[in-house]
Amino acid sequence: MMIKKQFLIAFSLISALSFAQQEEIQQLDTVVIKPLRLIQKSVGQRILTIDADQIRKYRPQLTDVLSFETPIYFKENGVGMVSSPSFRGTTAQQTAVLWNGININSQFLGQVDFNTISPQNYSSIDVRSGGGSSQFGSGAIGGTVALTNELDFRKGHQFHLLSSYGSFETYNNAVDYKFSDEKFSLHLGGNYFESANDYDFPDQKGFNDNGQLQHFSATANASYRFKSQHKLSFFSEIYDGERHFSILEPTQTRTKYRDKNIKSQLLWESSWQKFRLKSRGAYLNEKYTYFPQLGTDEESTYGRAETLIGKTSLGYKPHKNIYLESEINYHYTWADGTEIQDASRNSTEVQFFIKHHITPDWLYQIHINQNFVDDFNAPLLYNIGTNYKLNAQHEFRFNFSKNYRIPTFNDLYWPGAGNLDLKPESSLQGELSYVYKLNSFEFGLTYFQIELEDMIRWLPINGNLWEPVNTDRVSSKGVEATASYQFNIGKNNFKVKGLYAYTNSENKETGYQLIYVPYHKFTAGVNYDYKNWHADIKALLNGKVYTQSNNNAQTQVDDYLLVNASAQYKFGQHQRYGIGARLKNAFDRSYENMIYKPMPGINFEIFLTLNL
Amino acid sequence: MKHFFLKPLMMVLTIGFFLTSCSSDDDNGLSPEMPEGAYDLGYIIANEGNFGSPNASVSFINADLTQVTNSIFQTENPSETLGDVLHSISFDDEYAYLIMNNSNKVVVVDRFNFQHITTLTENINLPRFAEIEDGKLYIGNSQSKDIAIYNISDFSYGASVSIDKPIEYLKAEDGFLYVQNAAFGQGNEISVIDLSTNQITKTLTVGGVLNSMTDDNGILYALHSEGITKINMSTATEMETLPFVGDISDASKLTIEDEMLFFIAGSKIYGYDLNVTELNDEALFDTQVEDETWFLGYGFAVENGKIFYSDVNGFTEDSSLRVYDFSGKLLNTLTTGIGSNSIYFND
Repeated sequence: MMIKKQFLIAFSLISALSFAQQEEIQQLDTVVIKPLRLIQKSVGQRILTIDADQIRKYRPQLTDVLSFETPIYFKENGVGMVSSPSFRGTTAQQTAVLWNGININSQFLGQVDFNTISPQNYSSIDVRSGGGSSQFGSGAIGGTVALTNELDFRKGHQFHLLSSYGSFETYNNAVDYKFSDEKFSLHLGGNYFESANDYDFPDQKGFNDNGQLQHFSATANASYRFKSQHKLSFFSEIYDGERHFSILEPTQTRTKYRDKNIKSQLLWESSWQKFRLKSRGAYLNEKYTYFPQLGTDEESTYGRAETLIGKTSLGYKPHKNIYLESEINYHYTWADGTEIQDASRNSTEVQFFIKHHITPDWLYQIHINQNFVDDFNAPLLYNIGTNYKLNAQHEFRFNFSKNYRIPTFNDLYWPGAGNLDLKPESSLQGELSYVYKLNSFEFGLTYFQIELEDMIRWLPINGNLWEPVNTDRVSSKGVEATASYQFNIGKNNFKVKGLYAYTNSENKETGYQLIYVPYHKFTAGVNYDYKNWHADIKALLNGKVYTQSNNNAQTQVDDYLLVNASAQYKFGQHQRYGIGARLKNAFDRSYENMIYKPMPGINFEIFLTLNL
Repeated sequence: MKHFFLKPLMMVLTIGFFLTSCSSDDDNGLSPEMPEGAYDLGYIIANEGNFGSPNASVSFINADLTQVTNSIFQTENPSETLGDVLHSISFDDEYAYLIMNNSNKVVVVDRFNFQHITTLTENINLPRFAEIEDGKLYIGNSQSKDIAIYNISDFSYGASVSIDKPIEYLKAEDGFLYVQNAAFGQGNEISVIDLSTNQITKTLTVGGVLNSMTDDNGILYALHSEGITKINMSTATEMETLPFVGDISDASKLTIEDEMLFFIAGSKIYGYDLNVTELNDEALFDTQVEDETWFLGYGFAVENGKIFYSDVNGFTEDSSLRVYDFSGKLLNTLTTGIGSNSIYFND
């Protein structure tokens, strides 16, 4: 890790020196370019977009930014530790995570540990609530999180550096270099993060012992336009992170966990006349290593899964109002490790899609997917959506879909626990939205309902031995509301936004709310700019959650309000340099996100930014 | 499960009750039924809690099973945290030893009032069971696969005996410690340690996969997949094996009470006279608790003529502890803590 750190510093310096001379100064573009939008085929649904500027205001782990910017609720086993989302009251495995269009949910866990993704080199994150299995396959029930590296053209050289130091010996360095001309676009990025993470527990004795963590990630992406109609793109990313797992008593066994992930992808896009061809091949490699007893020669355990993906879609536009597309996807995954020997899975998906503008203000989509996967009979999946614009201000959206999640390798093959009789989980779900826009004010309201069957749950067999079973039927319904407004008072620019989610997710057999699903979640953000100054306030309110299935109020985790605030001053020509400070948990709230895992009180960081 | 004192005291108690009920002016100085503390003369329940969470707890149930007091350790010691996974409790005359598996420690309390005495931490690695013999505490470490020996007089660590095999139940008698080298459905060996030298002197093998062991009157009873093997504890020699006859599978949690052998298989409870020669497949009764198989009978004990059987509700909420008589009549159902795994009568 030391070498990587030095490399990063050196890289930052060299880059800074060479590009400081550039005549063509480019501000880092925070406007997301529409045509490259990753989540298409979202008729009837709503998407939240977080741009790079916002992403960099948070800890370089995906959990932090999504907690404050989206309706997704996270349970985090202590700061930086294993982090699982619950989207619309669903389980962690029911949120699909896409990296440049490819599903990267773990083959072992079915979920992404949101603290093993460094978001700082993405150009944007799109979050779409609701069903998406017909488009993105297994797992997209609660919603989809799309991580995007935008490769734009004709921007010249761009360089960005963020360097921060904060409480608990926390260092973060992120660099991005982009170059593009008429035909070629390149993006190189890197992030190194480390933290002793040894915060004192507020209001009680003890500190976060054995919680140190660090990660390194690097990305290289490029695109080449042959003619205006043909484009070849390449995306790659490596992540190498190590986290100790915090303990509550000094006598407990110290353990750590290492994640190494490699992602790469080649994408060919072509269009001619009324046709559009998109073809991609991807290779994913995920490896975890668990060290069950540090300080001894106890052997580590590991698991490794590799996935090859081939995807080809052909689109056809027979009429200016109609778009048709067929797609074929092939996935081959194989896995091995101390717990799982030579497991593999073939999966072939066939999709059909139609999007039709009946009138300029009224369109619908139909998406159909049949998956042929080893060992399971996958149901026919579909997604039907429609948008209707009453006028420039009022719009209605409706979406109905059938989705599923197939069991993971761990569900099936974990020694002594894996259950080969598992069936896929499946859901029927619908949502209705109203969107209001007036100038820079936007308001959206969505009602959703998800009916889930055969939910796979790991139940404990004997202390620390668990086995997955198809158990519950779950019904989840709720409301999501968002609002944003931008205005100026003289030279003062304000961007204000807020979000509220109500989720009632109940086990239909018992009638109880699922554990770790809050009824209420609220977030708010204010960004303020005046001349060279920038300030922002971010707030997050997580409602109480139950930690026991009988909704025992004595063991609930109480609601808490977190407020972060930062101020930044930018100077130099074109405000290239910035220096700022951030206050986290500004009200020094003593809180837990998961029961028995105290989180830090008020803490600080200072940061430098460089934009060339 | 443990009853070093049970039989003599039960006799005394019976006499005591008899006297009390017969005579209102019992002044003969024989008053052993007077509890020595708030948690004497009642049932102690170990609730292991969720793995990875410091929510292990101890419950106390009064002798006539009418009142449950949960979290007695926390109540008596508000500044202490019991810890993560209370796997079992061992008792001697004065103390209760709470074996805190995932905390790598043994919490010592006064057995009658549960006041914290001390906490043992040295050379303790995922302990599961402990045994007391001749002023020494033997702690079986499942991670380091050894046995840590402590001197009870000053709670000092003495030595460790390496076993290098799985370690489950420990039973001591006549200067020998019998160590079950089988856990999680694997293994069929018992190591015999000579406590004068702390050396393994012998390894016994039973016919099937070993589940649990208990002892009575100098005889070790080892429950395995083929039946129960009896071992003479002073000579470390096998006496006989009581075979299963008929259809019994996954038998677990062997215990002896009232001159009877008891174990469970799923929701069924089996009981046999101590001197049977074979184990037929006729259950004493069926609790008819329906749940995933691995939850059934997570805690099981027979104490004072009553059968205790816990329903841990998947560890997602508090346990229900069912109490039966030998005929299978449900006497009471009590709510205890998360993951009730063992039940002891404190006297």
